[in-house]
Amino acid sequence: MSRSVQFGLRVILAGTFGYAALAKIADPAAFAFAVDNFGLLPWPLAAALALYLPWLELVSAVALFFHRTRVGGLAIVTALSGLFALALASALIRGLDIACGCFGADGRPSLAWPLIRALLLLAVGCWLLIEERKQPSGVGRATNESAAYDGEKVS
Amino acid sequence: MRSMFPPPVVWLLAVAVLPAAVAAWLHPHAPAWNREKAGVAEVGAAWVAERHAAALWVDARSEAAFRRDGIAGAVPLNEDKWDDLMGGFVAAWRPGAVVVVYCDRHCNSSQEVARRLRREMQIDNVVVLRGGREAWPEGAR
Repeated sequence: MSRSVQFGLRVILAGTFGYAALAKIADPAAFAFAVDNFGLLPWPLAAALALYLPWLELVSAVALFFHRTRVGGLAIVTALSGLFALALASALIRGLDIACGCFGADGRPSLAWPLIRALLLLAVGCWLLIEERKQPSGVGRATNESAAYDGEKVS
Repeated sequence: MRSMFPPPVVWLLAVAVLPAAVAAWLHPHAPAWNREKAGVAEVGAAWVAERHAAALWVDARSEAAFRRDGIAGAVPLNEDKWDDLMGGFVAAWRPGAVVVVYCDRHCNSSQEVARRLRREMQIDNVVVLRGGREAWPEGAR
């Protein structure tokens, strides 16, 4: 896959996560209620997540544009997309009539489109991670760095 | 050779902690750690418009204000006449319905009524209309 396509997909990921982050950072209390509506976490954890998650999204979105942090950012946004998809699927299965909270407090009540969007972002993230692994400076290197950090012998 | 730096994922996770901690401390809209103190979620008119057919409106203002321009289909319920008005609310409430409480633009009675409905009636599906009665257009329902 050409580097320009990869860059375009990273821009889409970064734009989506960056925009979502800024909307939530503006009103973390409202986002805490959105998290609470899913009924998956006790309130103190929902409040803590509402404060932390938007900043993690923003940091990861910015990291996608830097060589040294690109793979780390990709890994995080991909993992978050997977978690969002699981949470949304769980809410749909339980028949919850709630807003997604993906871009702040308000939003359309339907959870189906946010679930599709999360699955698309997950697919894009996985694909980009696989492409990074194919490159000598990609995931493979990051894994070796990780192993070295853990004190293991790296061949 | 042993790397000086942890893997990128770890320090990206760590970097996000600092602004989150500052937000918890200084953000004017930081969530309260106690669920009761956090109040009841506020939603915009657009959010309600998507589901108003399933919503039960509760007017938390005075009965005079309710008679003047209460939203059609709403039931009055305020703290001054809680016991007197509760019968009307119970008659209108259906399990699973979203209860949308409103008062005027600058008031706190909708939050008080919504909290009390959660606490005393054990109704979880309660929200407060952001912007109050003025946020819901005339004749929208």
